[in-house]
Amino acid sequence: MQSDLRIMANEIQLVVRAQCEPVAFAEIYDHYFPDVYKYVLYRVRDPQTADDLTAQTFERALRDLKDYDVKRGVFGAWLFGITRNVVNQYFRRQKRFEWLPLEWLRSHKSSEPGPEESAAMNEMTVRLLDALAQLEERERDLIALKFAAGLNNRQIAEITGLTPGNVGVILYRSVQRLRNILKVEESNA
Amino acid sequence: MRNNIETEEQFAERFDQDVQMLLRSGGLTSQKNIDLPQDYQETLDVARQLSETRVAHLSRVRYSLRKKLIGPEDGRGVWTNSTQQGVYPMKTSIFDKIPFKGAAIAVAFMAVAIALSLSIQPVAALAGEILGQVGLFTFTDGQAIPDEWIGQKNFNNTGDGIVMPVNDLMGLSEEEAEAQAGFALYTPGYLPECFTLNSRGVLVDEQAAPTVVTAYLCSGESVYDDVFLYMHQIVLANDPKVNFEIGDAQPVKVTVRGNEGLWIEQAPIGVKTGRDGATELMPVNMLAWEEDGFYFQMQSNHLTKDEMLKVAESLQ
Repeated sequence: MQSDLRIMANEIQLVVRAQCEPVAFAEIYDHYFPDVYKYVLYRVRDPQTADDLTAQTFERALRDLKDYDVKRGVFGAWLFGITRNVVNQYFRRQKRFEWLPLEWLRSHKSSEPGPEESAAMNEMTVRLLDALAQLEERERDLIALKFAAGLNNRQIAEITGLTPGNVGVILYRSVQRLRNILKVEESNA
Repeated sequence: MRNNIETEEQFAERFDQDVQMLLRSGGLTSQKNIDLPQDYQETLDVARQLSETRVAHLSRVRYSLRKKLIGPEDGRGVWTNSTQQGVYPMKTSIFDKIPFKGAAIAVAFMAVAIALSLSIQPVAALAGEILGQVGLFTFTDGQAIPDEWIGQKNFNNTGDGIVMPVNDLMGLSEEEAEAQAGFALYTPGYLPECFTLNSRGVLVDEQAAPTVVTAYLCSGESVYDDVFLYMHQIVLANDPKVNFEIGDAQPVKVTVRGNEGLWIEQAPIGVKTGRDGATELMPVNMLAWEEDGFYFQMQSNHLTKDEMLKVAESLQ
């Protein structure tokens, strides 16, 4: 099945160059940043957290770029594999970090977007992110892999350990659920 | 066509085909098949919205991260292959090396340590005996950890019952922490073997000057074997005075970076969660001094005086 990753025309050459020359990585970064950020935001909801995790993703990708083998698959799938690991680690870590003292609470910044961020988001994006946040983690993951990373079901299956058939069915159900949530939210508005 | 699509699997397959077309066209296909049910069409509309939504403009680090990764002028003169593994010599992301298993104990300790170390009150009003002083910072023999905290299970539900993720607060880069705190950070040029940067946060208290807390961790076999080092950098304010309650621990005068400081061994100011889930008192070694308009305090559950002094001497 054809991949829907937005692959750069000269991607392989760029990646090989970037393995020993960072200038080439700049092009890779510019190309993939929007999709990586979107994948992360679809999963974590909060733009600030998405920034942190996107930064970790690219730092890790640059660090491990020397290990990437062009024969083992398209670069985008490798990069989104890293992205997914970073986000999964974030969620695992969050479950370990449970409490803080009052002093920290006072300085806590809400994970909800502030006025400035809300203004930058249009209403539809806010509604969409709110609805995504109500899905299960796995549902958000599959939706993000499909609609942000642009992976096909076979690539998603390789990353998630599901079968391509299962990916298709779960993805369909997940978007249906998302649609239902959006409809309810709309009717309550 | 509708007659051929009846089962969920068939709808899912059709959905996948439509989504693939959607993604390839960049969300531009708007053709609808009227033979398909309304809810399918609506689901496809949501898929279109998911595909078309653009969010990269919400990022605040897109360009600064690019600069950090690639370097100025697209990396010319910044890249080096001289490191052993050919790794790009960038600043480590604070989360990049977090030993996750150490997080719970570290945070538990930090929570108490910070909560108490910023207890601000006039020295004259202190009930306990003053054991030592570093400028405006006073150490008294008060009890830092209430008895009722010890031995309790589900510690996170005791006290103030605060439950919240720490990541947003501790996930700051050096630059972000400096921007929030409003001063330049001192960072160690030396860390004992096995220690890595864990996390960094800024504590902004209404009454006190901003504090930057940086955590370093050496991850052991289990979370119970972890060793951590916290460093607090607090800008000196004219007032008020700050009190640290250190129980029976005895401060000893030391010289740190040419300044008079205090070394306090086994101060009973930390708590940790034991294997049975109950909280235990955790004595902490501390090094405190004032320098360059800042109050510095290091805390560790195991590092010795010599080791902490070596870290302190390497600050720059």
